Amino acid sequence: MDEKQPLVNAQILSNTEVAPGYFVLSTEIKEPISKPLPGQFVMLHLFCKGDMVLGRPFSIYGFSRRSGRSKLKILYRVVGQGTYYMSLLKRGASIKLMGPLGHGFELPNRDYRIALVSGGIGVAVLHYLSRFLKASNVTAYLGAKNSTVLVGLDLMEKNAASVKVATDDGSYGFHGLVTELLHQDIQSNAVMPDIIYTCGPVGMLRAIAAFINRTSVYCEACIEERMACGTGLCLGCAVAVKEGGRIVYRRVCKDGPVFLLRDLAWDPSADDPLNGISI
Amino acid sequence: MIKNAPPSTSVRIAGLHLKNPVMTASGTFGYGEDLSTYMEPNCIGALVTKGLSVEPRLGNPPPRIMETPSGLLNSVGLQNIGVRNFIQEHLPKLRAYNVPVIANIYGETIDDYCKVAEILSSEKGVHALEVNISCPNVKCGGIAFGATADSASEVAQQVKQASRLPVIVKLTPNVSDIAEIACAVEKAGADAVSLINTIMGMSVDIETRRPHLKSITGGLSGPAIRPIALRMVYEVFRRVHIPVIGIGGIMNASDAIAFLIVGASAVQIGTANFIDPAVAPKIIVGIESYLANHGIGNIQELIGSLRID
Repeated sequence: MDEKQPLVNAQILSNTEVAPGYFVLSTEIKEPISKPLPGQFVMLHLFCKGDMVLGRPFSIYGFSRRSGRSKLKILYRVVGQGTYYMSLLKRGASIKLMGPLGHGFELPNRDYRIALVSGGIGVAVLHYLSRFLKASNVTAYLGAKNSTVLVGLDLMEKNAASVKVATDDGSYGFHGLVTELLHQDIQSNAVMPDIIYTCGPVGMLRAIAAFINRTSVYCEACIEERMACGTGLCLGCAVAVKEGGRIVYRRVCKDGPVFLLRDLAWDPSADDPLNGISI
Repeated sequence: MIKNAPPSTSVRIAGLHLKNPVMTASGTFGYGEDLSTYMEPNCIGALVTKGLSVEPRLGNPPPRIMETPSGLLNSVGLQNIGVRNFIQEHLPKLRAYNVPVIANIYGETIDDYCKVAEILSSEKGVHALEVNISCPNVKCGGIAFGATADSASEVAQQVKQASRLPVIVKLTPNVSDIAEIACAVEKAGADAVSLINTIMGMSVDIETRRPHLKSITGGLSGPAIRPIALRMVYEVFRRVHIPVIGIGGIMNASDAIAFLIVGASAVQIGTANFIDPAVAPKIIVGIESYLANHGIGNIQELIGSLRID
C-alpha cells in the first residue's frame, strides 16, 4: 500500500513570547517539505491535548532550509484553547504539521511600487512575503492596538524601504487606524502604490477596498477563517466571492487564503437565489 | 503454528463487492478527486461523494464550523456543484479508480431525490446511491424526510423505483427510535442503511452572545458522538436484515473494529479525514493486523460478533 504521509513531525526549537500574548514558535522539520510560497499556511496539530481534535491553520512567518532540515517559524497570538496550549510548548517537544497549503500571493514580475498593509497579527504573513520582494520597492504599513503589541517591526524594517506605523491609541507612530494613514498618504501622493498586499481584520480590508475601489491599484488580501481540514475537503472555511456577477462560496484553505480584494463580497444576502449559480 | 493466508477483509453490501469495509463518508472527501493526493485511491473499500442535488447549491453563509469538545460542529448546508456538473467534471476521474463510487444524493422534495437518482443511474461509474434523509443543515428536505418512518420509507421506495442502482439510506440520529426508521426503509426496499449522520448541536460565544455558527445550529461529528453511533448501530443491526454501515467519530482501527463487532458490515470515516487525509489506509492496515493477531481468517466472523453474557 502506498504510504503517503501528509502530516510531518516538527520539533520545537523555541517558543518565545515577543509581546504580551504574542509568541514566535520556531520548529525544525527533518522530513522533506516544500518551501512555502508567501501566503501559504500550515495546519498545526498538537494531538496531545485531550478534547481538541482538529488542527489549526497558521501563516508562515519564516522559513529556511539547511542540509535537508527545514526551519519553520510561526508568529501567533493566544486567542483560544488551541493557541493557549501552543504557548505552553517547550523546546524539544514534538508536534505534527501539514503543509505548506493553499494559494499564496502573486509576486510582481517587475519593479512595481508596493505597499504592504497589516493589521495586528496580519504582519506575520506580510513579513514572510517581504522576503520575496525587492526592499527598495516596498513601503510597509503596520497597524496595531498599541506599542506594546506592535510586533514584527524590527524584521519588517530590514525588508522595506520605509515602514510606517499606526496605533489605535497613538502610543507609537500615527494615532489612528493604519487604513487612515495609508489613505492619507495615497491622497497626498506620499505613496502611489501599484500593488497593495494586505492581511488583517475584516474592517481593515473593507476600508482598503472602499478607497481603492475606483483606482487602478491591484490589491491582494490574505484572509482567515476557521478551518477543520485545511485541504479543501470540509467546505468549512467558506468566503463569499464575486464571480461573473454572482456570489459564490470559495474555500479559504484551497482557493485562498489569498484573494483579489475586489472579488471579496462583504455582505452576501442569505436569500441569494440558488438557481443557476455557478460554483 | 501454521502460517495462515492473510485474512479476508472483503464484504458485500447492497450488491457491491468491497475489498475491505472502509469507506470515506459523504462530505469529507469532496467528490473524490483529491483521493490520489493522499493515498493509493484503490486501497479503500468505497468512496462516498459529497451530497449531490439536481441544481448546484450555494451552501450556508460562514462561519460554518466550530470545534467543540472532541467534535466538530458544522453547517455547510450541502454546498455542491449539482449532479450534472459532478458527472461532467469529476466522474471521469473516479472511473479511472478501481473503487466503487457511492453517490450521496439529496433533494428538497421526493421528486428531486428521484431526479438525481435517475440521472446518476444512467451513468457508468456510479455503483450505488446513498440517500441523505438526515442532513440537519438545510431548510427543506434532508432531516425532514428522515424524521419519521412514513416519510423515510416514502423516499426510499420512490428512489428505489427511480433507479436501477443499489440504494443505501443514510439515517439521522435525531429521532427517538432509529431502529424503527431503519425497519421502515428496509420494508420500503432499501438495500442497506448507513448511520449515523450528525447530531444536532449548538455552540455560543459568551462574550458576543452570538452563536458560533451563522446558521445558529449545526451537526456534530467526531469522537464526541462515537458512543451514541455505536449504540445506534447495535440497535439497528438487531432489527434489520439488510447490511448496516457504521458511521460516527471513527478515528482509528480500534474504533472501526468496535463498529464491526456490534454489527456494521462496513464503516465510513468522516471527521478523521480532516485531521489526517491519509487515515483511511492506516485504518485498513489496522483492521488487517487485528484480524491476523486474533486468528480471524475472514472479517465476516467479526461482524456482529458482540458477546453478551
